[in-house]
Amino acid sequence: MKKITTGIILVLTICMIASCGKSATKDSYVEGTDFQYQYLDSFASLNKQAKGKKASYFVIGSYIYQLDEKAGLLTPLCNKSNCLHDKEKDEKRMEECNAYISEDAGIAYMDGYIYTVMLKCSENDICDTLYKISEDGATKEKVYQWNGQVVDNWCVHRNVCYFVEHTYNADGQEFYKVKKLQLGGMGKKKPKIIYEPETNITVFAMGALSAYGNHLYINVDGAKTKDVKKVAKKDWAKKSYNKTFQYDLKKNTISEIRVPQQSETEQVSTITFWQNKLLIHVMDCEKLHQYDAKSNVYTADLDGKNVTVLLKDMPAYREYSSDGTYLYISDCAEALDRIYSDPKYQYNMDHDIKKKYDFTVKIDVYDKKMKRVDQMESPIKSFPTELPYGIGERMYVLETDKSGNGVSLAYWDKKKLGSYHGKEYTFTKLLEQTYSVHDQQQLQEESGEE
Amino acid sequence: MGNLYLCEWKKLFRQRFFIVVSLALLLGNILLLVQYEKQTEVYTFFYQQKQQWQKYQQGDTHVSKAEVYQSFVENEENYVDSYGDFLKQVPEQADRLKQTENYQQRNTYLYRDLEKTVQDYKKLSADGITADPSIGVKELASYNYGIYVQMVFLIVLAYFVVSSERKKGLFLLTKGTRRGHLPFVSAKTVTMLSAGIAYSLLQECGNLGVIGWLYGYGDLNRKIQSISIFRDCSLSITVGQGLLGVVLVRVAVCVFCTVFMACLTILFRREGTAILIYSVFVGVEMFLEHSIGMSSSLAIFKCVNVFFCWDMHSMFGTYKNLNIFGYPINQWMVVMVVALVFIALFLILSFYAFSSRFQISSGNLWEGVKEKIAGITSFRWHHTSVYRFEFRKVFYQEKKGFVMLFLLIWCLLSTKDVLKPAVYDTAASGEYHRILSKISGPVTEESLTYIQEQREELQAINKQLEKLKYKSTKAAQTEQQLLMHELEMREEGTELVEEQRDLLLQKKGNILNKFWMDEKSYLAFFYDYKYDLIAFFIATVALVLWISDMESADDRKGLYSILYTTKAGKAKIRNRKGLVCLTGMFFSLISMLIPQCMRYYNIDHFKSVKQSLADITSLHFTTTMSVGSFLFILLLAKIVLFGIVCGFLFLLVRKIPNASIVIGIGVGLIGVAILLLWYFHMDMTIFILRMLTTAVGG
Repeated sequence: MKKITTGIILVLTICMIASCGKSATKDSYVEGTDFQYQYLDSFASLNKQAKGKKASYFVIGSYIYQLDEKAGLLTPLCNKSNCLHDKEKDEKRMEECNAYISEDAGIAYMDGYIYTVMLKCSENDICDTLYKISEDGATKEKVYQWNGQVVDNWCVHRNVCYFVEHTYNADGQEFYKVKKLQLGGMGKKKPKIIYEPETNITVFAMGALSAYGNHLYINVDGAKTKDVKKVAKKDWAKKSYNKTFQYDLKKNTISEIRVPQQSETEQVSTITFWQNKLLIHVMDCEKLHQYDAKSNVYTADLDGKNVTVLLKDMPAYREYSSDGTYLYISDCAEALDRIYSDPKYQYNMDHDIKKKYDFTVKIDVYDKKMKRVDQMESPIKSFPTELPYGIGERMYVLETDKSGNGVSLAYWDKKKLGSYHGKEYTFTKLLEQTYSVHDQQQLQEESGEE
Repeated sequence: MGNLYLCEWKKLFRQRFFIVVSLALLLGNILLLVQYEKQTEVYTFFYQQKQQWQKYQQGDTHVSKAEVYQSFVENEENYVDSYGDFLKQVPEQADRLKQTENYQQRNTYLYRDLEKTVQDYKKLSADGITADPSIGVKELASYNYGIYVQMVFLIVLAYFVVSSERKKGLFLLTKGTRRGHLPFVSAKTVTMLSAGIAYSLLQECGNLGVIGWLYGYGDLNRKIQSISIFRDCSLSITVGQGLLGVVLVRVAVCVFCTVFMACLTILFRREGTAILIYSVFVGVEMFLEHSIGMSSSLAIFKCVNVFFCWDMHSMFGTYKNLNIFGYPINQWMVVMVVALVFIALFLILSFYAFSSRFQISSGNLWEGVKEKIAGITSFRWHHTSVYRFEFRKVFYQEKKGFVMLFLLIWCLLSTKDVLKPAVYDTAASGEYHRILSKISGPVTEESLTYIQEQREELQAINKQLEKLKYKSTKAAQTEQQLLMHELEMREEGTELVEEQRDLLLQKKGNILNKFWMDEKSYLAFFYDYKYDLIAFFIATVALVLWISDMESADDRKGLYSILYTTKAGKAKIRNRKGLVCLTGMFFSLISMLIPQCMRYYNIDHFKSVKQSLADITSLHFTTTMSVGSFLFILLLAKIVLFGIVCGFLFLLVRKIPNASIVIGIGVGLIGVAILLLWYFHMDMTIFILRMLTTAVGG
């Protein structure tokens, strides 16, 4: 009897140990467990799309929708047929809908769940809360709640949630901390700090977190001073601070991403992931707004080492993104810079801006052998935008209707690459139905106000 | 068996204290319900202004608050009109979902759940759904405090049916008789069950009666889905049947809890252990019900839960199938089966435990170890002071020293928590607190100048930004960003301070006689009822534990007859016991008040306590009482209230020579009061603030 009991305990212990820490350790992209970098957009805001094993997911208004491509159906991510989803008017029932999330919330797919950070209101408290919704919309569970801290940015990667915590103290100082929160397992979760900016830096923003393989990437945009009054005029050029750091998830070390012979005025402006390597784009601050300026595009190991030139003398104002199969190089950055550097736009939105600037965005597409396969023009003419290309053969986009209150799902078929030769690529409407971007309560309030 | 049962009932009815407590609890529940209702807007509009409501119902749209009634009626009608569409979309949604890949396999839980949902709602129709005032039913559904009162009753019942006889050693006699095992314990269990059911029926009928008298239930023959909170109900029942159903379900919950409590009381020879386990069970159930969502994979722990079952809204207002081995089973079926299984288990366990175990109260190993330590260190107690002797009995023998230790640790941790540097989630809050901490205290020319300087600095930043507007170098861009960042960090917070200054200027009197007060922090603490209620609850529970055994320990050991013949005599011993009780009260009070006082001290070290309440810009008081006086009155009020609670507890201890009952009643009553206050967002601070507002018309 004793032997049997001991044996059972031993087997259970082995099973427990085996199930612990069961996550990918490959230093490359692993579908289903890794951060989906293919959905990062040019504004580096939270992802509004994700791809799961059986469906693609979209944020429309305050709800998550899932697209079943085979069935050609876009349905709210909620398995309750007795739920009104986006047509629900009762606030409590809205929150009970599995598809319901905060407006402006982002989503991420990992291991069969869609993760989202929602602003949860309870009595007098408003706090950010991390939820996970099963990919079939059957369950929605609270994973973690932040009390009194604002989560600026977050991502999930290999069973860990990384987030940027932003707080202020009574001396008027602000603090940014990048923390990690182990997901899964029992017991109370406690986040750990993995990075804090240097104390002499004023942080303007910490860009969208991204992760690839065994690395997390953190961008810090700020200035190398805490006191604006203490900087002499001649020193301002040197005060700009824009750095990208990589955090090694295995070694728990942090290092800055730099290119060889990087001068004081050069900054790593963007990174993207291409063929299991980092693609690094560097901007020279002294050549700001010089649209004919050239710069190199580098490639490096994921830890930022072994940096080599991939593309030489590329136009400085280019945007680089990839979907794992193709590399897309667009001049969206140039169009945006022209607009943003225009004082009329900056301080007083000039409604004639469309007449003044060309919003056409041209995109060069390269394959894995770095051979240019096509050049095309973006069909979006309302504002220079670089949309995420997503995973798979289709790029999905939500087209806003004329009223601005509804969107419909459309896609671009990547198989048509090679046929454009500079012409505009087009979106094909997938579904005729329009979905409201405002929930019923908002519409009620707005109509009440009118 | 019949005779045994009647005998048990007779014994129970002869316990005058039990009858008094039961009636008190019944009455207490009614009073609680009425007080609860009085705090709601519904009470004002639909009971106090009943005539206006009735006139409106008869067609008079010019009554006072007609817009409230109109909105109410419109909402009800709109809901009733939409119910048909709701039913229609259930199969439509199901058909759409079935086309997706997740539902291609028919032998999955998802698919079966979907099918079952459609089938369940198919039985319903929009016929019989009518818009009739549903206030009564909604208010009945929102009152869920009866369960706590009932749980306190069950503790008392268990004591009088089982524990009291065991303490008197009567089980030793009765177990020796021919029918002293199974028939005897069955009779006791049946007595407890019937008493529990009777109490529950009386309580719930009382609730139904009170709510019905206040608001009425409307047409009882209309379908329960006529009421919006029950839209998701899949049962084809009327409102009348629903009301009956809620009574029956609550009686069933009572049956479960009664059997559980009976089992614990019989199983554990110390009633304190039984009550502790029972309380832990209640606590865990509350936690699970509150923290698990309906869509969670752990939803079974939410649904198979006494609090969930008690809640009428959950009972009839939610539709949920639980995944049992891949098959969707309605929550109520699962609850029934689990409840029946556990009831059977508890009954078997209690019958077996009673029959097989030696039914006397006894000590344990820990007591032996404790006594050995006490023996070694006894030299410290070689004195003739009655107070020290009584203190020692409570501190060591009754193990209440742990309570003091707990209070000390709690006080230290709370104070440490309070003294931690404050962290804010917005720049506006951070900047506001920065400026106020700089100038807190009397308003002076320098402080006014300081605020002006902050504004001038921000204006200078704006001017600088204007100059950089047309510059496009990186240096200019960096400088711009930093300046804009500084502006974002400081603008809103400075505006808040300026707003406070401007409002202070508008108040009566010279501003230089006023004070800069960190109003946001003070008001946040004034209205932080949760913190105060939790602290009060912990302190009072600690006090209950401290004094619960004061009289009963000596009574249990039969020492009074010896003690009262000593030189000290009855009066002196009782006085010294009272002093020990006061010592405990003092310690609990201090442990509670220190962190609370430190909270306020930590704001601005009381630099602005001379500010009059009338000068607080975020409140509308006309009283000239200073903040310091208010805090002092608050402190006194808390001390007095605590003293009253202590006095009540001491009286309880004197009247009830049983620690477990004292703990049960004490903690139960305090707990119910705290819960009620929690629900209404009320505590002593808010109460006094409201009184000041009413008294001086502020």
